[in-house]
Amino acid sequence: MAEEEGLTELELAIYALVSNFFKYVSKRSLVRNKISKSNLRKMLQKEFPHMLTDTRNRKAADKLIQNLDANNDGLISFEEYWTLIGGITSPIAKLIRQQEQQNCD
Amino acid sequence: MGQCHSANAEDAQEFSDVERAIETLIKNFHQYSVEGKKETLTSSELRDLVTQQLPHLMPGSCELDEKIANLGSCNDSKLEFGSFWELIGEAAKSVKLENMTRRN
Repeated sequence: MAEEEGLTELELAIYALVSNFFKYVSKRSLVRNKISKSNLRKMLQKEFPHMLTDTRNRKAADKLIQNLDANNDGLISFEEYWTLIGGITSPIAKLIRQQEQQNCD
Repeated sequence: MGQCHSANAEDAQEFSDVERAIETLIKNFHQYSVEGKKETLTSSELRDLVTQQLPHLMPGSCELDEKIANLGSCNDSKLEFGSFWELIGEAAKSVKLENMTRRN
């Protein structure tokens, strides 16, 4: 993937998020291309060292994980993973915009 | 002297690939959401973003047109970050499939 030429920064970022999912897909599981909840927790700890630092964010993430597994099979699909990161990212995006606007005033 | 680094500078160095990727997505969204209310994309801003920043990932323009048209039907033609994220998710899914077929 990464060897493809001419990808934009945004496209490379999307590739990075997709390959991060596959990094945590359970190798031994019979169900392919899903992440176990325990692997998901590991991923959140390892890959989000800054975005989930304070306990409030961490609690929010726990709640997201609970709600996430919509079909209750204990495994996280790519769609569920994408929704989770979106849930973490949206409030951050808002915050950044607010801070920028305050700085401009 | 080495101990005088600001905490922020050190933090910035340790950002993970995932965090940097997320930052890039936010940055792109904000870069294009300049008209009116700055927390949303208009359909023309979305079109610019997709054609300029996602030339390899976004499906044919027909599908995109359809999405932009759907966008017009609600929310006064503005796309919030959450909906933008979902749209990018669609593109990411096509990467996923590509990835799987290459593996097999």
